[in-house]
Amino acid sequence: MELPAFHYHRPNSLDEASALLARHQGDVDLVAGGTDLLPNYKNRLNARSHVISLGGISALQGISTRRIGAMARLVEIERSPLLQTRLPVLAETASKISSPPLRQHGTLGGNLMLDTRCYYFNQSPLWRQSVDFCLKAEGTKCLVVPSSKGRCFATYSGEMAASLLILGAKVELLSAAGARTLPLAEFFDEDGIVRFRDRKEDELVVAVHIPEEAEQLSCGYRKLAIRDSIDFPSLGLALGLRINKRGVIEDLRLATTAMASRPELLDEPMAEFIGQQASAQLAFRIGEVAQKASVAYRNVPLDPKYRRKMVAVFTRRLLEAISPAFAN
Amino acid sequence: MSDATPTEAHPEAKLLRLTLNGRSWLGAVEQHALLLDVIRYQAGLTGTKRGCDMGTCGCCAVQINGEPRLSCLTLAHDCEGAEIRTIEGVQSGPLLSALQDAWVATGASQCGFCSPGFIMVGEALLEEKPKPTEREVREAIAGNLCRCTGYVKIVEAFMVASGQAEPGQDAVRRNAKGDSESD
Repeated sequence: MELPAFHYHRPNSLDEASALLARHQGDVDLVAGGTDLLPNYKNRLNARSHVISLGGISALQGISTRRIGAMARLVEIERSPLLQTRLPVLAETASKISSPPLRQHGTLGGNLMLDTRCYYFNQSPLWRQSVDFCLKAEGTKCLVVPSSKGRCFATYSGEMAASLLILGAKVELLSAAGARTLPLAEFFDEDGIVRFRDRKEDELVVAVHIPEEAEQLSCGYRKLAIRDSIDFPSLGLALGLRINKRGVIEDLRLATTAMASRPELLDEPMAEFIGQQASAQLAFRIGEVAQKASVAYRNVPLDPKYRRKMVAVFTRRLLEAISPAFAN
Repeated sequence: MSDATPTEAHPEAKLLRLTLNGRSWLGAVEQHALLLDVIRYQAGLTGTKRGCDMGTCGCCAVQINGEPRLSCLTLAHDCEGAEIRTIEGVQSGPLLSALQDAWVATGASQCGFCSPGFIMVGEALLEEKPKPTEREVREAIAGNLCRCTGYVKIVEAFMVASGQAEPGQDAVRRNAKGDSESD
């Protein structure tokens, strides 16, 4: 398929990029690795007349334990010796995204800003026309939840977000009006079209910042997908734990992705377990609570009930893998 | 499309410079063109295949500055000044590369449509890891689909090319994920 025609821009600096974003506001997209945007453009999904390629901006590069540039590629995160030792969950998560050639393309910023996906949206124009267009592209009604009254239920499938949420990461945004930093936990909106709570249209993600205390968590990430080798997740679950020598939980963080229109940090449901003594029984209980706190929409592969059950299973398995105190 | 008159909706083609299989290449390329289209239709190198066109099948894989990339998901103008290597640039003169040779010897090609993609990914793997394990091979080719061979002959070709097996030895297990090391 040919891409729809657009004006291609390749700025060499952040200033140039934000000026371009501001100038073409409303009719512009940013492209990093292209693995999400270009297939959507081929399917004529909300294509714009201007595309800004971010590959030429060196300020968006770089990996350290405190800051990862938005254009750091997934393959670089996966293979970074620094992240593998200090923040291994980020390397682990990156290694599970899609396939090796696509991880050469894909970037942290691109994965974070991944457009929401839906059975009724990620289809060819002919397919979409035949079932009537959906709210997210050309239509007027959500085909997942027809009574949604204008809300889009497309599913967020970025995997890095789940791991970054448990690490307490922040997003650095830049526009012509200046830079600001937002906690990732407050970044996403529950509407699959709105996607971001208050990101302005001319803002671009420059980097992700990770607090120093994140390194004290023991973390893990599990992915549920039909094919390990390439598919988008039907559930991604990241868990972070700090436990003392006596087996008492000092910190417990859990986040899911590919369940709803935004990645969810289950901080409130997990709060009750802090200060409790780890045991096999408690691991089971934590899994149950996580499952109860999760919703799954019926618009990506695998049944929502099954995906919610797998929240409990993954939670338990991760707890057992991280600390032997949960195994007996 | 390349002779279309530029309009607001159809922007003017721009000059693009590449090093294509070691030779410099220069052409007027549409702003929205994919690298795949430039390779196939403007440079006339049709060894690189358009398969799924969505990044799933790996048939369009080429090397950009030595790294395996999918040309169906690469904007041509993102490659300004880059070194592109396609299947046509793998052999040296009349000689096939070790991997291509092994491909023939093991029968890793059946219909052959996916072979260029596998070989472009494979050449990059063998450059990085001259003696990969079976598991490493299977992981590296996870983004390449073959609907004929069932992958056994393909993995065998890697083992033969890297000097770890002889053709016809049945070096590769037929029912495993290749996890000879512990998981």
